[in-house]
Amino acid sequence: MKRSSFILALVALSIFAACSKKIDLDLPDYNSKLVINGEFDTDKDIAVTVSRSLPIMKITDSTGYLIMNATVKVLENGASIGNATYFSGQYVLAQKPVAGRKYSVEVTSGTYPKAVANLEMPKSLSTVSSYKDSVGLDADGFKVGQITLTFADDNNVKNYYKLLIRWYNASTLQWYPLNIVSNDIIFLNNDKLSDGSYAFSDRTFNGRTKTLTFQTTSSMGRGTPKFEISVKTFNDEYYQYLLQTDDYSQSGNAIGVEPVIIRSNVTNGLGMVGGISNAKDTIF
Amino acid sequence: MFLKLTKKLLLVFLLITSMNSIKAQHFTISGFITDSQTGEVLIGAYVFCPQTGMGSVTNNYGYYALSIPNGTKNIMYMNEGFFAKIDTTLIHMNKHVDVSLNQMTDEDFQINPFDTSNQTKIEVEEIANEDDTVNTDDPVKVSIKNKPAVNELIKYVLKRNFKMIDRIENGYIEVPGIQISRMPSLGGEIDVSRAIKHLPGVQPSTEMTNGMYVRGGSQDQNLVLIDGVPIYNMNHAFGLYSIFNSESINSINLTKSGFSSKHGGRLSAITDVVMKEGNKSGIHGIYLNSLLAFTLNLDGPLSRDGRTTFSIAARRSHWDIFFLRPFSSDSNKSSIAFYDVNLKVSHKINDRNKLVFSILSNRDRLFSINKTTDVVNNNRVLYENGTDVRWGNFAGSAKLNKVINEKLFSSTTFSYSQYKAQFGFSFGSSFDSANVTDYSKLEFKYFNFIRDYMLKVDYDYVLDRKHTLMFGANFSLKQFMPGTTATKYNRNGVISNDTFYGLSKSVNSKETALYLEDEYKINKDLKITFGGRLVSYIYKSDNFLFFEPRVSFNKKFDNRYAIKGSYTLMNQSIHLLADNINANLTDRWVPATGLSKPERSHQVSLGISKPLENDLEFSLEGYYKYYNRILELKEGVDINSGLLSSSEWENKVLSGTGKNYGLEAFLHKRRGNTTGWISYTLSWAKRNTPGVNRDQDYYFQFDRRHYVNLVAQTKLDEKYTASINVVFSTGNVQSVPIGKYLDINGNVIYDYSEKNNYRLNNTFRIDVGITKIRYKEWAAESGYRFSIYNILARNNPAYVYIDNSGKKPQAYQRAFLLFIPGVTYYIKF
Repeated sequence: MKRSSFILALVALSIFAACSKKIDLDLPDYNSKLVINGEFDTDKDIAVTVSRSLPIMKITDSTGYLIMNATVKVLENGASIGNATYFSGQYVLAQKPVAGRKYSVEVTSGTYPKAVANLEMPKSLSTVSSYKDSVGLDADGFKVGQITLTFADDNNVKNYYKLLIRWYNASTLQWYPLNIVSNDIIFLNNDKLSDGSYAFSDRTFNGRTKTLTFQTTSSMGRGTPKFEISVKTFNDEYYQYLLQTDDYSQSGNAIGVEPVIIRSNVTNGLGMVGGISNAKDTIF
Repeated sequence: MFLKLTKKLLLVFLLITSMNSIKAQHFTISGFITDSQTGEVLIGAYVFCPQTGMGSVTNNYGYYALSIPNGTKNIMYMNEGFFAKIDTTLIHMNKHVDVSLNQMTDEDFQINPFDTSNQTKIEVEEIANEDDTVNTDDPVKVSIKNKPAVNELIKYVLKRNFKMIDRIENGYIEVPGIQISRMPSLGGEIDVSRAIKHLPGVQPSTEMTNGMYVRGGSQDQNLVLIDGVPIYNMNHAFGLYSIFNSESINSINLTKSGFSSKHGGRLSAITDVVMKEGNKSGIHGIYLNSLLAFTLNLDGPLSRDGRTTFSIAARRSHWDIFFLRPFSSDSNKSSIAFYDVNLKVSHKINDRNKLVFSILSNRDRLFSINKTTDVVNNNRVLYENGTDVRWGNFAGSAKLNKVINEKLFSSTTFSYSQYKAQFGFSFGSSFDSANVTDYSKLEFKYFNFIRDYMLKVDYDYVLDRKHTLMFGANFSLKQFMPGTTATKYNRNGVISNDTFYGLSKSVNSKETALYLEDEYKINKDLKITFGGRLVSYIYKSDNFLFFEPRVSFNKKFDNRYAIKGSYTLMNQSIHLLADNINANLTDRWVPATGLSKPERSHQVSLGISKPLENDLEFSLEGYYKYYNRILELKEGVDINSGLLSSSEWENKVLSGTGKNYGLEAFLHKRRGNTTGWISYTLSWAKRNTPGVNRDQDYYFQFDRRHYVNLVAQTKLDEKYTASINVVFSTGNVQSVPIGKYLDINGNVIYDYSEKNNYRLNNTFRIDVGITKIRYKEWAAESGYRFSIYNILARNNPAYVYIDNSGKKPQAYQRAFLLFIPGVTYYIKF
């Protein structure tokens, strides 16, 4: 019995024991590229980061990626509006992007070929938000409040939105994302991002005014209810990028996980410069 | 709409068939072909009339039907491993002729490949009609005058392999059961599923999992039928073994193209397994004990007249008994085990009616219990954590086979098939003090299942000498539970938090199909099949109606070789959410929906079949397959971590297209002292899915350019048979990052350049085996099968990964199954 157990143990071990062997990956020579990242926000000055990509097997920390001596030229509708200067990890130009205009960011550095990011700012967005502290009672008899958000979608343009509603907890003095419970199709078919926001397209309301309502619980309405409704609109390319980076951060790089091939709008380089029109309402 | 289309289809068909006038009077000869020793029906046996050059192959019930002109005709009955038989008979009316063939050994074939014991008569006959010409150079066309002539004729027909040339199907392989049973096996456990992957066009996934990829199709695109019942998971032991108990199988056929209208619902392949019905003459059986499992098969008659027979095959792994239990203790127990049971009961009501019941049940279970104790404030606290994972199939069918008349055969089947997987985890603690006992347990259970209720009726009808029809209908109601999680908290007997997450009820889909197909013999050398399948699929409020045309042709050239081709359109209304690298416990079946529509494939194939000298068969086939709406997981989706949100699966997938094409060569030696085959596959498999890989084309994960197999067995002497498998394959592809950079949030992300951008190293494996037979007085045969899987212990890559935990990144290649010895003792009685 002992002998047969021993033999079986050997066979079982040999079957299940996987063998990992060190190898040198036979990868093609990797040409490092310039990486331009940034989010052009109608409420903020123009700012981008410039870094380099590195071969996968290169040893480095995050500082090894950054490039601090690049030339970053910003163009608006094809005409230069100035060079951004390096400050605290970013290249900044003291000028706010304008909704509906086209921008290019041209970056040169050392022997890298010139990398160019092109984007078009979405048209401006305005929202109207309101809050009712009681629209009914829940199953336990507590009051249910309601937030109403209305915004107009730009016609003939494929717009995407990112909605984040936060409520303020007076006890902890912190903001928390509101978990949206809604039967609206835009929430049924789209993804919740890791920061608690929701991304959706205008597919079902293109060119029309959209009104959304969200229920709040009594705990959110304690004291003086305080809500922050942030809506960002952006184009298809940036929307896909945000979804991809979010997928990537959630999945990591585990074996068996479908890899995320991150999009880029940078010619001769990597990265993404997106444009957003921002609308934010705070309700007290 | 559905009825109108059906009517139109029938009308077109009747018009076509009515155009063929019958010159001479033809009659149908039909019946069953069985093994004279066991009474088992012979599937794929060949019936051939030399004078007319017409042949027919028995179906899955051993039934044949052949239309031939009146007059005295020689009818040959042949099957691999059996003596051929000739019956010379006067055809002047429709006849029902049941034939039993005698088994033979390889040596028998060399000496005397025919059997005259049951020949009715051999007569001199001068035959002349429009189909016959007398040519003394051609044994097939010579009238039989005496025994030597018969001998020559049979040798000639076997040598020329008329069956191979005559069969219209291309992309069709009769899996050679005897050769598979002699192949080297993994751990001594013969696995038909692994053996099939040595055939051309069929490729495995990684060594550890039992995925099967046919012509670049994913594993859910393979329809696996056991006695006509679809089976939804083929794997034991995390994919290490399949559920097929090789000793209880009568026949296995694999179809890769040229699908019959009878079958549908999958895009890539049909594996049709028929279990044994049981020996009519007496109780027989085989017992096997490998290093991994016990197997016992018994079959025999249940009634004195042999009209009712049974076959039961049971297998159970014994790792847990011999290996795990001796090392278990009260505080630490763990077990991994599987079993499978196949039961088939057949009752011959009369010569024309037969009832067949079959049941298949298999289950894997992995569990562990871990108990620890702690002392808190002088009080004892006991912690108990448990894991319980189970998965398995249960399937059953009741079938009535009926010979309505000499021209019409029917089979009616009701079946049920279920696959269920369940994961359970529990965390308990109990606190004992002098005054207080506090107990709590949190249980977490996840399960998914598919159930399939099916009713189908199939007819084979010999319309006239040129037309043989197949028609029928089937209805399938499927219930899906893509995944539900239940939690329960029990504290001192009070249950709280008894909650379901995800779907709490299953969802249903309904599929109805009507089919009609005509095998039209245009002349002796050319036949075509044409027909189609009309399918209605309903899921909730989504309705789909498909017509699936099927066309095949076979052009023979002087009975020396044949060119075969086909076009098929297939739809698949279920999807499998699967991870192809890890074990398949979390795989789940889901229905096609309005968002994730049924998948579709178009396939054309063209090939040549040619018998060669020395009992060799050669076939070469090229194919092109185009996919539409095939499922692809979204980038970043981890199917294994989605247990809680499985009801949202539609948000995790995308639909895309695919192109697969390739060339397959197969050289097979079925008879003689040395048997086996060499197969070579040259193939490409590409996909394009909007939203994946920046919308660019990419290679399918199991795209392998070259795949070569050598399977050989040779009889060394009366006692010993040696066998070898040699496999060479181009590595499959995987996504491997080539660079890294910062994203918009300052996080390091990988630059993959493209999906599946890295090709793994080539795979090369040699398995060897030897069988030693011992004959004993008290048993028919006994012996040992020794084998070593991957004797070179070669590190064949399953995947590569980069480890960033050290000072510098390091790449590793992961491999499984290196040098696995195995031994099996068996005894037949």
